[in-house]
Amino acid sequence: MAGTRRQKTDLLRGTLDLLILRTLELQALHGIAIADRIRQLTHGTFDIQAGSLFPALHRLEQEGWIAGEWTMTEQRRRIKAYTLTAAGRKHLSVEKRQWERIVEAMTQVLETS
Amino acid sequence: MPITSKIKSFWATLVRRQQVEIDLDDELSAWVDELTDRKIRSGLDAEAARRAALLETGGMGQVKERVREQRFGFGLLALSRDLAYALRGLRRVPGYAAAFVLTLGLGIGANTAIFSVINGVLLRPLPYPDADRIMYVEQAAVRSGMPSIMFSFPEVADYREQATTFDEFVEFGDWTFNVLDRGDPHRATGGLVTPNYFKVLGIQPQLGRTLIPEDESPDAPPVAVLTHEYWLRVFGGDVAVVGQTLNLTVKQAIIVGVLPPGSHYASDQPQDFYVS
Repeated sequence: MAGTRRQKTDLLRGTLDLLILRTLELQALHGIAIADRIRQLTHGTFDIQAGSLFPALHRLEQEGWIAGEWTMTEQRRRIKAYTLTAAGRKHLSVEKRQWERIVEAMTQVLETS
Repeated sequence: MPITSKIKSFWATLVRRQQVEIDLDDELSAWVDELTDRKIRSGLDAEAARRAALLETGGMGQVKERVREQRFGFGLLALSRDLAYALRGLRRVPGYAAAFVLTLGLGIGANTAIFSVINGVLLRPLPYPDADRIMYVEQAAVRSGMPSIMFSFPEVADYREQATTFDEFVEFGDWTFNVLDRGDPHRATGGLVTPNYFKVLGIQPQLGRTLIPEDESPDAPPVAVLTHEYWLRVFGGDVAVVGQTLNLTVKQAIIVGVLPPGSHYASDQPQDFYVS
């Protein structure tokens, strides 16, 4: 699939949180790296803009699900890398189950002939 | 949201505002810088790359505002900004502001005064058990132009016998007595009450007893029950007061009890003791 460019799709409400939490479950990342990773994982379907990403990151940080830490990059750039907290991990598993239920239900409706 | 991160965010929004802003700046700058670098790598010159990066980010100011809106306490901050703005506006028109403040002040003051009266008279329940069931019975002699006249003994007896809507009828009245042998001779207010007065108002004695039906019989010795306030003032809170005699000149009343503190008066005048 790599290299193929999929059509961009608007995000469903609430799915951005799930995408961010899942991305940070794998490793700590900062702003643009999170957007890169999401684009990469979805093969370009979701292209998250700063205007959506940063408000979401700050909201999730406030909820206590992710924690930001300031570090320096090799280019001497001050970046804030986010990690998933224990509470975030728990929340992610809840959200995942919820998502699976939605997908299952939607699939049932859409594929009924 | 857990309360600790709520407080942290609230604190950050209100107090550490500058640091929060600097952090937000840096966070967004890192995004724009990285985007710029990518554009340069793809062949744009530095200036064009930066412009394109900013355009793609969609306005730093707007992004920042959207982030701020997420923070707890933002509403309070916005409110304080609005208030400051309103105050600045009012300072520019002092006459209008004064009239405005005066109008508000008078309005609030008048409302408070009216509410205080209504609360005291209508809303606050009487300090007795089943206060909502206690009624004050009055009668008027309309043709004689007397809005409130007392009840005669036979009238009260009739009510007591025939009324079905009341459990008990309590009579009370005030009488001023001269008290001798207790320090300086003085005048004191005695409440003339029927013994069930204490039962209806739910008052238990602190010492001794209150009045009992036997105290009403014609050949019963006169007895008195002291209010807590009178007991402290005249008897110095002496616990051996029960059984002593109170010289009221018209009669020698035996003190049978003392009431607990509090205003237990059915009339508007504070009583010193109760006699039957």
